[in-house]
Amino acid sequence: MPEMSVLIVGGGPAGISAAAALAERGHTVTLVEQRDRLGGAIYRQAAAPGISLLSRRHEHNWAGLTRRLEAVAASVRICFRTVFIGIDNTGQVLLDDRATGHVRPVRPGALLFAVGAMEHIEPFEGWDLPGVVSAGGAQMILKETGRFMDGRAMVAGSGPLPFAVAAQLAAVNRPPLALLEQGTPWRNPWAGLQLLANPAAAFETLSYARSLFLSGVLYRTGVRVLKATTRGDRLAVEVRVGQAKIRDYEVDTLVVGNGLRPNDVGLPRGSDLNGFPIAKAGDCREVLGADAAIADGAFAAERLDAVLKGERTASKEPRAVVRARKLQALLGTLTGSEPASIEDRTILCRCDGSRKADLDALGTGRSAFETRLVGRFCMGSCQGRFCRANVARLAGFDPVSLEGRGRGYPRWPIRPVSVAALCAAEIEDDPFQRRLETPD
Amino acid sequence: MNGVLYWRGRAIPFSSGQTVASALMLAGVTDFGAYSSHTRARYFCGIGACQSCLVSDQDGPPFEACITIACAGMRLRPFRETEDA
Repeated sequence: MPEMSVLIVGGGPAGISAAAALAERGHTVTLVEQRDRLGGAIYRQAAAPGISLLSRRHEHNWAGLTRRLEAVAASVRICFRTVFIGIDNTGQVLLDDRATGHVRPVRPGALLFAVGAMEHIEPFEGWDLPGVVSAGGAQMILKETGRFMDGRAMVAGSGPLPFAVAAQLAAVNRPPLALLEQGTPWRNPWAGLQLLANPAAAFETLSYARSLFLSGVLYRTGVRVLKATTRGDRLAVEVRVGQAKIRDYEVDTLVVGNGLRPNDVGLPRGSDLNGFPIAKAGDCREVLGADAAIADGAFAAERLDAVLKGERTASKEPRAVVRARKLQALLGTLTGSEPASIEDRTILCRCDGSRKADLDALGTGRSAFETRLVGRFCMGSCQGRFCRANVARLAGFDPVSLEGRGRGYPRWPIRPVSVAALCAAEIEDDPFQRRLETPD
Repeated sequence: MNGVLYWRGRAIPFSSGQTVASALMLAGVTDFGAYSSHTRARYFCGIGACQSCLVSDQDGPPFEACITIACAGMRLRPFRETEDA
């Protein structure tokens, strides 16, 4: 069999599982990871030993992935501190090698994205302030250090992640002042019972609930954050309980999060880019969690292998993926809530500091194109990762229309990169260079 | 193993393997300097997605504090400011 090289972006559960599965099928694999360790957000390792917050299930799965990768170590090259910054319509991929400060153009035989999930944030006035961190961001600090920022913390938002983070804060003896859930799970007793019928989910939910209860954390449902403002060194947080009642809290850290979504901004759609095979696996394809991501990575590898060998596959979606989809739907029912109305002063795009009023000022006839180029929405350094969904909802656009796309492929770079490094890269068939050489 | 980096000249201790962002946050540095006309740089998502936590090491290019491992002797500054204040 000819040697074929596959480039995998992302060293979390899906990426590692796919790398191992492809290597087992005879491919040579290059796996690029933005950090200096594998594991992704879910298996983020502690900086010092003995403070792991990983559950036993995750520890077990992580050990399994590590073993699979070790078994095929000769065929998998891992590049740490390397960031995917784009792909053009010819399948040329640009990687930012931050360890050496070089941008490397590469032409793999196929490309597999396994870049995980990111959080959805419903903006409120002051969500952009220092001291406001996302639930996932809070969890990264906890997992990495077993510690948390000094002072009072409060967790607000919806879904399983804020719940887990509040319990993990309690577990390191830093219980939050309150856990404020936007949704009203008790109104869906049937979904609650179904959740408890899933042994892994029930165990996780109940152990978190126990930890919150034992630490005396106030858990309230149907509560939304309206506003956060700076008060001295602290944050004054105004929340609405139910339909009318307003309450104030004073905290040092406000943890917020409204669920997860695929981290797919700037990635090509579909499975083929002018004949160049592309695949997505794990949460960046569909948010189903780490256990499903392991199965999904292997599944994506199997299909990519067939494409590369010119074979057909009739394989079915793994059971773990189907099971996880049902669980996610259940969790969505349990903690779902209507998005809040957004005040004029609320920052929508944090990168450029643009407010809801700036979006309204574009007028009702605005197109997605004008919203980007005139309003500067989704044009900042995060490329709309955090404002796109909210801008799209408010303006009535398809979120994809707010991505800058050339002929069906996203423009690069999708991450900040040193201009000097970009200029020094020897990019083959550079469209900008071509235009310079053959002026219209 | 522990080390020290500097944020605008202030010594920030960290343990080996910690990110720049967690070292700053646990030392009480939550405001990472100016970002846009209305917003401040700050730690937020922890996974290199939101770009809120960009900082620079001396004259180097901006990088995400949340995915960058702290190194002894780093002299960090807000990425939009030129002077090591």
